[in-house]
Amino acid sequence: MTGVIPLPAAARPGARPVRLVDVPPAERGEDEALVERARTGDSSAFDSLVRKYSPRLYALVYHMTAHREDSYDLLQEVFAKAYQNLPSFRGDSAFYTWIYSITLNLTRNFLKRRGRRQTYSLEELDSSIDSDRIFNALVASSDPVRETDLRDLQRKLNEALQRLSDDHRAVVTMFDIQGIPHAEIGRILGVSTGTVRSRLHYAHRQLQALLADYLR
Amino acid sequence: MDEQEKLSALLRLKRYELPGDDFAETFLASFHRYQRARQERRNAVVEVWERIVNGLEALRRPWVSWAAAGAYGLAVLAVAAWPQPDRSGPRTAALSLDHAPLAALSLAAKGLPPAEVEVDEEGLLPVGFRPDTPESIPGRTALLAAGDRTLHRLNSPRGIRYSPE
Repeated sequence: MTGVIPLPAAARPGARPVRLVDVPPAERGEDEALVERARTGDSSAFDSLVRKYSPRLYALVYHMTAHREDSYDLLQEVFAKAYQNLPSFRGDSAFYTWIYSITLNLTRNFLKRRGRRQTYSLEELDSSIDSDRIFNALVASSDPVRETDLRDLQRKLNEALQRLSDDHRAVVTMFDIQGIPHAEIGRILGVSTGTVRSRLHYAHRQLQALLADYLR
Repeated sequence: MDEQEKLSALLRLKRYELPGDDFAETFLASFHRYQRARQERRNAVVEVWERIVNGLEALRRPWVSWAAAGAYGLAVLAVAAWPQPDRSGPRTAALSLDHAPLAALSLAAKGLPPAEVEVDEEGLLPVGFRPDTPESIPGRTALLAAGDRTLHRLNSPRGIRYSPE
């Protein structure tokens, strides 16, 4: 299988996505072993899976909802559902693909229930952004970005993302923020790579229009 | 940087919205509490459900069926044996004092039961006459022509007359 493991991109900003083919077989089999142990009732094995995946899944839900507390609650539902459905997990897909799909489905349902009652509860920006080379290049090349307070920029960015449809926001989150490649996103969403590219294209066009002031 | 590169760079800002290094451990502890609470709620629901199911199971035991059949049989017998009001009294009962005190007094004075009331020479019934049923109007058959279904009551100081018109 080719593709990229959904990285703890949010946990390790700027890290290069790791191709699955780059991952040692032992690590790839680690999830399978943990899942197998958890299925036989070993709760510590499931705890290990929670430890491993909760940061990146939290990031996925958080970028979709722009709300910390809602994301935290939703993530508990995600793992509870995963634990409950573990006996029916047949291993046709990787564990992370399966749990990503659960996460996205529950998040989509939540967003439908929430409707237009959007409120923001944003995480603090990590100070290590100061050393992000690519972001610094943007700051150097864009007067509006340089002149805007980071907190305001963060707010504008989140507002623009929330204007996207749920499907478009999902692909932007997974591709642009979490660094998951098209093929893997396609597997998670159950759509073709072409559909993923198409959604990304339209989402980028919409974001460029919404954030035009900062992209001059 | 072109516009697409600038957008990608701007989106990198989102990667720095982090919950903190101890997130995984904190979340795990919180998840354990969540699971326990969920399990307790589930246990409560399961307990109530089991009680309902056990109650329904009890209804399927033979002695409950026999008891229910016996109770049904007793109820049927009780309804059948309940004393009914006697509706077969004399026809004079239809001549109510409330409705026709004069007729009742008059007929009682003459010692005539209503079935024996007859029209006089002028075709009049006694003042205050009230039939207990439409069929008990003397001469009703003769008065009703073919097709007529109603007799009208005509009161006069000398007596009562029934007429199809």
